[in-house]
Amino acid sequence: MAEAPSHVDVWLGSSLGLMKGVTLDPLRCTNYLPGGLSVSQTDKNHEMLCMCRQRETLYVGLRRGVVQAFDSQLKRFTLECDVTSGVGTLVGVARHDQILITCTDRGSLSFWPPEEKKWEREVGKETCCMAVTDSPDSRVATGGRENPLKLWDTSQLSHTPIFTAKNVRPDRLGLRVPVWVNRVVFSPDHSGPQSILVTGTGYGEVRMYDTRAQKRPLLRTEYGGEPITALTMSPDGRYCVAGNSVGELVRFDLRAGGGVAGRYKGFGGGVTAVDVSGDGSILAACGLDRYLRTYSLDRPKLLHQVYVKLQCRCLTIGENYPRANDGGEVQSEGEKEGDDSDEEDVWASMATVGETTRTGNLRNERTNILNPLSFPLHVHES
Amino acid sequence: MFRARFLLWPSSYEQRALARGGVLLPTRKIMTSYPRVRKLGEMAKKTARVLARSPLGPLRKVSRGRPGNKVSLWCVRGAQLAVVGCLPSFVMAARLGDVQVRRLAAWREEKKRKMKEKRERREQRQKEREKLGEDAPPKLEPRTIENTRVVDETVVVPDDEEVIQDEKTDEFAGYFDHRVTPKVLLLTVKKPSGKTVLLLNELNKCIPNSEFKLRWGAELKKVIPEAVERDFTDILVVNEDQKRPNGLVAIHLPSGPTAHFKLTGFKRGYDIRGHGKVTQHKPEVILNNFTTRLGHSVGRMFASWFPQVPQFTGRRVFTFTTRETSSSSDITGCFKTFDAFLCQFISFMHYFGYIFRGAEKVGLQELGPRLTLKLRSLQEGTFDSKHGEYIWVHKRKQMDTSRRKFHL
Repeated sequence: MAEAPSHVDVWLGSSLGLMKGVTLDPLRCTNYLPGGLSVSQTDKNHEMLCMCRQRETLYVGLRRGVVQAFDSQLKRFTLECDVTSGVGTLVGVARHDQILITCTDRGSLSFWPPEEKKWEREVGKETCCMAVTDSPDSRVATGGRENPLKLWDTSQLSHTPIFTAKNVRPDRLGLRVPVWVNRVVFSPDHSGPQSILVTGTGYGEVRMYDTRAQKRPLLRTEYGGEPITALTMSPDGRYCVAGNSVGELVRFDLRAGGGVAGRYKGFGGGVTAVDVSGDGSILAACGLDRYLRTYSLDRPKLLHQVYVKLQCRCLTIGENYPRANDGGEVQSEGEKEGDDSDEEDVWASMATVGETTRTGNLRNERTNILNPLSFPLHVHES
Repeated sequence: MFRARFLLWPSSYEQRALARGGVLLPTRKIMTSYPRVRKLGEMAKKTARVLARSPLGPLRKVSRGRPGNKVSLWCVRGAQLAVVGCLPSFVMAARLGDVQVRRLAAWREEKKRKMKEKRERREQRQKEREKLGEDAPPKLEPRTIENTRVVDETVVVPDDEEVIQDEKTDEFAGYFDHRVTPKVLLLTVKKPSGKTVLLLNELNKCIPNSEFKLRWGAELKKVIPEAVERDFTDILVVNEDQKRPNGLVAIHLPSGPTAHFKLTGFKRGYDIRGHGKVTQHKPEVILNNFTTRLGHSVGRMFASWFPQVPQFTGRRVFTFTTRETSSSSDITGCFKTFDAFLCQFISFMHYFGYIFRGAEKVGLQELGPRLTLKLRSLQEGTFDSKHGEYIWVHKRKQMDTSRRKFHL
């Protein structure tokens, strides 16, 4: 680790608060810590539980109730803010426009607009997950144990959920099916308001909901009986990849009745996070066995296996991965970024027709470069 | 009714009979009740005549029946005949086909040739070494389990700050920082019997500050919070099947990992030759070869069952070994060696001893019990086999692809 790499393919949030940047070709793992903090000063309170990416900034939620902003270009932590005040642990963090959205396991969904007062919603006693859509009319989905899937509007005015899922019908024995929404993810449907969601239950079931159509799931598939602990969608919304607590990573084809369309082998322990690259070719997953594994999405082939020494609960594939030229040329990086911004200007000036952009990733928002959040707390100096 | 006695080797009576050229045939009772045997019996009668004429050389074993598969094949010198052991209480002779005869002969020839080549190579190397004298290349190292092992990237490097910090802040940190005194709760199935009771007795005696409680079918998930309240630090649940202990679930409290082991090879002190008497001194714990990250976690779990500070005057030692060690000065190295098949297993042994005879040699006296454990899974949090998250699950088809890869 003599020289930090210029590009990072996958970002992982570890159990000791180290941000790990992994480059896959050549294989290298670099650790980043908030300025002034060393490895020997960290502990489990710094565990990174949830992560979201907005362009080149990563927002991570820590166990001690703090959200940190990490700039993936500058490769350092820029901001930190206390969001829970010691009550509950974070289960989700997201950024929509300028608003930071956090959710705790006690059910406190908070919206933090810059320079304004935050507002909160109570989403249920035990919440396990939260997801936010990328589209302008943003929605937040939450769910938990005996806490059904709910959709919330991000405007300050609505106090009740816009959608509450109905529990599925009783099972074959006539028994009520317990509710445990462990993971939720929005389907990246570009054509309209985001209404298709996929949830993973604590009983090993993956369910697809269309909030415009009905309150019960459209599709239910079961895999094993172990809780689904990681869930993601492919960019075309066709496949959903789920990982469970015993390390089974499976791809479901949602347009073909939810059948299994591939098993990604290799995990020795539970899968904690999974992500698909912007072009839908690479799947990255990390787990409790302290490994990061990348697979090609279509053919379940293991591409890379990196030992990252710490358990990681969240990961994001970097913005520019996979790169077209895999020679790892440092100079082309700068040029590429230049190209991107030029292209973006061109696109931004054109009238949108609702088609996908060249970069194709809804996570890249067509806004100006971010103004730093003006939370009145600790700014890292490094 | 005949006693079902499983036969792998012919008994001494049978061996003598065969050596004299005799053939043991099944009794009439067996022949009538098992059709397959009847057919073989007829074959045997035919070969008996052949056998009676040709002199039989000494019996030599070619292949051995595996437990559960009731066939053994012995080859008689000359490879004309094979003695096939079928059902218990008799041995039958069957005539080998030509192909089999040829194969057996070819195998023997091949083996002779290989041994000869090996001998020649060794002599060649010796000659070269003598010729070159001091410039000779170093002696070839014998292949051991450790040096043929598949390189594991999770092997812990001693000064890795991430691992050090991870271990400083894990669930066992309280024990290693001397903030917590180990107190072990021993549990078992609803109605333990036979060897399980014996094992529990032994564990109760051996592990200082342990208590045995009858569970009477109480749910583990309900027992755990109560045990936490009563300051227990670990729960060991011995599972039983057919009056024999076959599994061990080790739950570290209050929120610690749960390890599930397969338990075999239990031998109590009483059954070990020359065993010693267990004293009440605090024992020393030796963890051998727990080198990988997973091995570290499991090793720390074992250590956390015993008091932190041992009483060396008591000379009581517990060893947990995963593999044969190559160094001879190591305590366990002089006691038992394990073949490669057992290298995924953890041996638990209890010694009294180390009377140092000189600088290198150590005398040991085993106190028992002796156990062999194999890690099945390591689950985060306390016992919750359905909904808990697993740190490591043994997946045979994925993980056991190489005989030289060890996860601990």
